[in-house]
Amino acid sequence: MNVLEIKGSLFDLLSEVKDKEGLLKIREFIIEFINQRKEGDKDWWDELSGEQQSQLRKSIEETERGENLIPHEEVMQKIEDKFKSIAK
Amino acid sequence: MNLTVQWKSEAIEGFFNIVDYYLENGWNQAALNFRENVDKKIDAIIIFPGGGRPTKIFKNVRYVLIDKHSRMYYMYGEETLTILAFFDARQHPAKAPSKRCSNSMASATTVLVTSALLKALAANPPDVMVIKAPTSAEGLLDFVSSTVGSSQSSVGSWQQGGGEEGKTQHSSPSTQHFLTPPISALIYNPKDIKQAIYLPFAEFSPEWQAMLYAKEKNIPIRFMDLPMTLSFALDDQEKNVIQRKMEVEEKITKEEQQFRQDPMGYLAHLAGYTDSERWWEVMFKS
Repeated sequence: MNVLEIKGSLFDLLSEVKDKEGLLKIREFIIEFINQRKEGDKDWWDELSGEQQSQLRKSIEETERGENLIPHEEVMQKIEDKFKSIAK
Repeated sequence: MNLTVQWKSEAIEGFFNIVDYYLENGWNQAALNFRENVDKKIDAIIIFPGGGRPTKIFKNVRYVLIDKHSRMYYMYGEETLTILAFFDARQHPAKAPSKRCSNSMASATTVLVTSALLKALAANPPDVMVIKAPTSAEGLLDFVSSTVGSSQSSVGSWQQGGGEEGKTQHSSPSTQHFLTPPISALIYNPKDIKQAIYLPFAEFSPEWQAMLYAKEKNIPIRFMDLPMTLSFALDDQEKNVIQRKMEVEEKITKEEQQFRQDPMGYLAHLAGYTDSERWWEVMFKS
């Protein structure tokens, strides 16, 4: 398949997706893909500061050990509370 | 794919730091947009976990852009999606004064800017040195000297807001002591200590080097920002009208809203840039 054919097949596939939510998620993915292309091939890890690398490394290691993880629902509730206080 | 989402506490802290940064600047709509974008991105990642930008260092660790300045870092496995961190390029001491700041923000760019500043000062010595810092911090100038004093300390503090307007209280040295960076000035409202800012200076900070230059050449120095008394009062007033502001923001055009939320980003967009930091670098730093 050449580029035009690939684009055409993607369009055909997309036309099969009927729900708006699903299309929005695919759109997000494509936007992310395009943004990544703009940023070039450099590994983002090398662009982080030493402090940021340490923080991420620690978070990754703790995640692998299953430590200090907070369920999404709990975080969402905290966020909800915060935004309620803003609206007041 | 049905992934269970979980957060690291550092990610929660990072999320709220960014939200607070928006709120402290009065960008309530931007805070709401940020939250909405995070929701959307997480939804998208659950479907396409490999969609974020990868690194060669860690398998299954990615980031996605939340907006022009913020990145969300995550890690995924067969069953879980873990939000690891949020980093925002704008969380710079001068831009987010009341939040904790990262030393790592002291970039090579700052050193280059300082170097360029010193060259410019040598070529065109000013009659008066005007520095972008609150006038309330002018007491700091008593402690600035290019010659190292007999004693050094690292924190100066000023109370602001409790007394008459514009009044700055600080302890005058009985014998002259000078500060050696890294230092940080703390300005706070004694009636509400939650209202406080730090003004950090490193040896290579342009403001610090400009002060040293002016002291050495006997050039008068003035700080140009509003006294913190006013800034704190404005903060208070803004908190009271958040709801009204949100209602007003809903009525303005999308373009005006974009400009209000991120004026630099808007100008960068008009100039054809997608990244306002890059536009700033090209326009003002190169």
